[in-house]
Amino acid sequence: MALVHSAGPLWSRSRPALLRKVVRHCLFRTIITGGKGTKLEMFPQKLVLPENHGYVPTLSPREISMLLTTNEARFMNDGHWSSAVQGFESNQLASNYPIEDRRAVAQLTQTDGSLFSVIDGHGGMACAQAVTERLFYYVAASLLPYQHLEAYSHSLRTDLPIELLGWHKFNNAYRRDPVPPTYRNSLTKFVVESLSLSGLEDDVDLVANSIKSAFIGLDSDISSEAMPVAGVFDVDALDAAFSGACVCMAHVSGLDLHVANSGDSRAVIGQLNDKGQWVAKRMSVDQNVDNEAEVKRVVSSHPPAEARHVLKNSRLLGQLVPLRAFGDVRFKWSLQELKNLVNLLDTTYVHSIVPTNYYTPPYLIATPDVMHHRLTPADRFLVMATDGIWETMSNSRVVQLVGEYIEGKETHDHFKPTDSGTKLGEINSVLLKRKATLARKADDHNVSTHLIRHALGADHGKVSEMLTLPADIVRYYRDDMTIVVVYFDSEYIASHQ
Amino acid sequence: MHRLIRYTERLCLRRRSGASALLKNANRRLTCNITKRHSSTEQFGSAVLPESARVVICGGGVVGTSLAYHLTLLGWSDVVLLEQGSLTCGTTWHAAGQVTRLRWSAVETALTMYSTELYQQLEDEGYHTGWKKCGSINVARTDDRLLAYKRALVNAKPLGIEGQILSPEQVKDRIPMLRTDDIKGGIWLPDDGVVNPTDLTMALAKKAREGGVKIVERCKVQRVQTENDMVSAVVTDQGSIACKFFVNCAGQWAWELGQLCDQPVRVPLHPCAHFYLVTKPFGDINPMMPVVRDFDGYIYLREWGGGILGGGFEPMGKPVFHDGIPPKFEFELLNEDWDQFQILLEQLLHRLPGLQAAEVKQFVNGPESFTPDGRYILGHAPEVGNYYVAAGMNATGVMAAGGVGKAMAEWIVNGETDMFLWSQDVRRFAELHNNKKFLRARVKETTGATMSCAGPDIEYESGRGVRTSPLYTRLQNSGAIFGQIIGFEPALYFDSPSVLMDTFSETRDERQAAHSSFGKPAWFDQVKAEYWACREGVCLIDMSTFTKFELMSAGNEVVDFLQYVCSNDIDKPIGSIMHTGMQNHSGGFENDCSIVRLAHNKFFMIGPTAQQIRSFAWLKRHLPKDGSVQLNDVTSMYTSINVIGPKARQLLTELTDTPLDKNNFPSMTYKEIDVAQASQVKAMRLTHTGEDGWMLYIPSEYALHVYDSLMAAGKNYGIRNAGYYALRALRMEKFFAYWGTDLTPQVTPIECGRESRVKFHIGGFIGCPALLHQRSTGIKKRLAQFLLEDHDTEEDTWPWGGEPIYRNGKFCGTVTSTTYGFTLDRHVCMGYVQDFDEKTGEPNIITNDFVLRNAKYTIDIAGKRFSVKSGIYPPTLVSAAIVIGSG
Repeated sequence: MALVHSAGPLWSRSRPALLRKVVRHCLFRTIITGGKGTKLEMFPQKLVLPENHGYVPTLSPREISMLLTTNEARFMNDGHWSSAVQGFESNQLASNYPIEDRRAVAQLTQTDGSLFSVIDGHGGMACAQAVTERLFYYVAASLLPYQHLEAYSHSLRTDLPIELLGWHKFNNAYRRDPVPPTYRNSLTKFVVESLSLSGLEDDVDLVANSIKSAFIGLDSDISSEAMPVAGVFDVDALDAAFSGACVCMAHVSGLDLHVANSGDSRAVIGQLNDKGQWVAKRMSVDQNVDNEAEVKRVVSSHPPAEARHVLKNSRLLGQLVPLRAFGDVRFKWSLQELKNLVNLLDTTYVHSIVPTNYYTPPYLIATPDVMHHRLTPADRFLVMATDGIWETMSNSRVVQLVGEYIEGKETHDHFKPTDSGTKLGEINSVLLKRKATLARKADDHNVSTHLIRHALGADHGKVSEMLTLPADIVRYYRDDMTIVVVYFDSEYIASHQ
Repeated sequence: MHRLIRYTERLCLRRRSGASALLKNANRRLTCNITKRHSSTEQFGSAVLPESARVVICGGGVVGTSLAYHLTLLGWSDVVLLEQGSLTCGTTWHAAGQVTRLRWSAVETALTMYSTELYQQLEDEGYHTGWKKCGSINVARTDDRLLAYKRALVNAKPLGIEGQILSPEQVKDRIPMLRTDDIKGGIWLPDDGVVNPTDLTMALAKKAREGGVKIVERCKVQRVQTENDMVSAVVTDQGSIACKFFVNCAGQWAWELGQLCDQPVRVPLHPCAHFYLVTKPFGDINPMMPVVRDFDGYIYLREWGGGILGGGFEPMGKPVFHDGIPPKFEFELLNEDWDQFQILLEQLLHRLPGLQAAEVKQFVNGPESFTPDGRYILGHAPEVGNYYVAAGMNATGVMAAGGVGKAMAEWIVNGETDMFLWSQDVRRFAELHNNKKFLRARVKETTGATMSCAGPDIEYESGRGVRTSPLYTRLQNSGAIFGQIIGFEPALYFDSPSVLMDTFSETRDERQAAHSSFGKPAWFDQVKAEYWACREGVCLIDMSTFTKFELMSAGNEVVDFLQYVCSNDIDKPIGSIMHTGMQNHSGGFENDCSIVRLAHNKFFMIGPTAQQIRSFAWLKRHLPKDGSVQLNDVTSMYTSINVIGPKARQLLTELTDTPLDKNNFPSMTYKEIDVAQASQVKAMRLTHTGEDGWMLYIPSEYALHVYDSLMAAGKNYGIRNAGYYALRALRMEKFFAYWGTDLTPQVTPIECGRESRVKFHIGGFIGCPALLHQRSTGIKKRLAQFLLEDHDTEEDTWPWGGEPIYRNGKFCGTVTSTTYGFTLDRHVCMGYVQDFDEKTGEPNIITNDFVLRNAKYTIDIAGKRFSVKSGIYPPTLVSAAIVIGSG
């Protein structure tokens, strides 16, 4: 959740009570119908006692590991398919109940590409959920060459559309079932539009532009699906459009890595330089008020008279921390559109829905900045994480932790001289190298868990304290955290350079 | 011990086989690998389990077979040895097989010396042991280490050890491939060698079989049955066997086997991984290359099949099998762990650079058992009357097995040993030592300690603060440095607060660095101050570690019992305190203690700390069978504070209403008194040092109050804490001998000048006939006090015990204990004077005149002889005021 920095929980400030109810209602429905992945019991609230008990339990090491490892995910390529991606590890820790963060990983069936994404929802989870389920289809479609897109377009009209994605299933994920028909309708429309625009794009970076158009396309669909038609509105669509989501997405194909970022999640490459040091290479720039270019963009797209209102208290219109996001149509729709909706719901809330000084919408866009990087053997991994992690640790700290974790992991296996002819001197030098990394051997079996543990605190007591904060204040201390670490296969990269 | 020496001397004369046989042996091994040999079953066939035997030995490793063989030598042939797998299959088969004669302590040296002679003898008799007398060289990287070698060599010389200190160049001459540019020198031990542990065990087994021993393999002990605290039978998977004696030689299984007894027996050991590797043949390695030990690098090296066998004991070992040894662990090794081995590999490559290019033939990681103090676990289990233990060999089982087998056989057959084996005695352990968590923490350290030279007061760091006095934290805050006796932690001395507070002053390590490990210790000035405070003012010494028993009965039974076990008359008026020995049947000191008569039928016994388990077992074994005498160990119930010094009486008078003057509260008497607001404090006017003062035995719940009250009231008396080092200085200067060092089961009261404490006029106590006999025939050793004459306290190596004493240039005994005497202003040593016959080597009868007349004594400290003044009566100590005035 993006707003925690200075002001506290977002939905108590920027959302009308009724919408909150609507959201709660939808949310429950989603959870109840969600089937397998709901996992309500995975957040053991009973560990947290009311403050007036005067006793805060200290979690046992085992309890902490249980809490931290519930959402672990891991997949290793192990030569299944030819790719620069060796595999990934991921984990999530909830602060909101239920968690508003999402993550998505999928392989593209039509190319060698794969997609990774961390999604940070705010004002509820509906938008983040919608983006999680839908964005990759938009991206996959817009990445298709014309003929393939055409074929896909055709298949969408059949009962068995071509499956563009091989999803990684996370154990705590849930999907809406049945999928609302609007999803498919909107996607079909998007595909048709893409077909008509095909060939018109600037060829400088086809992939970047395709990703951009996918982001824009999905956001506009989320927005338009929520528009009341003839006085009737779709509660689910409304819920998705009125909540928001920051998205950071990576696409790896061949040796090309694209990272598209909309909001304040972040992606960083971990490189091992010639001197054996771990170096962080930034692959996205947070779009918030700390980002000068972004501030300039926002201010310049509105009349100068608005300059002092557009960004107030380091927030968009004094309310929203990220300067780009999916959903959040309160910052996108025209004043009239918002008022119409308010009339339909309940007139008393008009002022809370429409931000003050709302003159020249849209104030918010979902268009991502896309950064491209050609992978080299020095690139060992990519860390993507929501701002819950970056608030506590710098890029270089994260890269250092992951790098040392990998080195430590290499010594998990017992050393055995492979060749019987190995000289003792050689064995000793290998052992000496291992020795340096043995000390770094981490207890966690998943690097994301390792990162979360470090984000929470240096020692057991601190971690326990962070995990036992009462539900009503936990968000002041820690945000939802979602991490995806993508490992690169440096041998593959070296041989394909 | 001297019987042993004589035996080894005889052996020396007998052997001297040609070098050709040695070379033949060496060649035989060219093809050999560390691997299991034919099980003995294939060679001999396993015996059928008999219904009964005099002795049942459990464990078919090198120790068990050696014991079986030595029992036959003493004429006991009704012996059955049980082995759960086949002989050597546990850990013997993967031993590296090095045998050295020189160990850090004289006892271990004597044991391994006998082993070397035995192995040579077996080889000469045609039993293959793989014995190869290649000698060994221990290299030293520091002057301190070289001094430790010199010291060990000098101290062991009277035992007949041959050895020579070498310069780095001389080391290089003997082993050219060795790196020597970083060493200070080495020690050459020509009579050392190596064996093949499997061959050796098979030879011992064959010898034992020839002597009538039945060896039953594939026979697993399931239970050791007891009746009336005695083993009655051993239940195995092949049936039951009745026995008169049971011996646990189960090696790394000994802990578990101890638990299988109806009355569990403590055998505190824990397996640790032990690593070595064998290279493929390389270079031109001389089969007779001496074994190399580099203690500073924790490693050893020997020739093996044309290559090198190199291993060691890393500073922090790796405990294994904490949750039990897997079943059927026969001829098995542990997984390779090269990462753990790296620290040793590095040092092997450093010492023998030629190894860099060598290739590995075999990497061996086998478990070895280690004990809490790195010493063996031998002797008579305190829990069960006829249960013996020989285990915990700390990876030196092969070199120890010969001597251990012999000593254990004597122990079982005679009930006592010739050697003073207290340092290896199973009774030195309390229950905490058998705790597996403690063991796991401690053996990490003892693994490495195998290679450390152990200065005089090295303490372990793990397993500390487990068993402490209620005053522990108070003393700790006052800067106490604690030691550990039977797991209990007394303050040895107090690092003065100014030293602790001032960050610019030297640390203890820095202070010690100014001297060698065997030189003037870092605590000298602190102990000196404590000593003088005890002699001139008033001090508190927390003596809670001392063993405390209560004995009582309804009628007079307890008096009769104590008169039977004590050599002094304890039937004295209520309130009396008696010093008494408890003698064994040879008249030797089983214990030395103070007995307080609390009531006509109730006594309180105070004994040395280390005696807690041992003396309890001794008393329990002799209690009347009708249960009329009750014996309780109350060590943990009381906190003991020694209020010591000439001002003790004034101080204590402030805190109690009981009159404390000499008439009302004479020395060596007891009263129950109030101290400050606490009651029921047992006060005894004695300090165990000859100084005036009181021992207060305080029920532990009052301990802090009493201590704090004494400290508060004592402020105006300059009160301070003192530790056991000061206590030792006070005691030894006055020629108070101490059990465990000066008084042993091999020493009688007559030999140490305590005849006056023996109730010859009453008699009827254990050992009385032996003492009467000795009184009429004369003694063969006499305890004497020696004052070092021309010793430079600052520069010279200090005596620490074990140093040889020469009378008119002829070896006459060994220093048993030492201290610096601050009043006498010189070192004080105690030791026994003997007169060894020129021809037989037997000690002759001696008189006081022999000790005192026409005798010039010297003591050899690490190769330098110092003349000493001797005495057999306590010296007159001038009062400190005069010393201060004149000095």
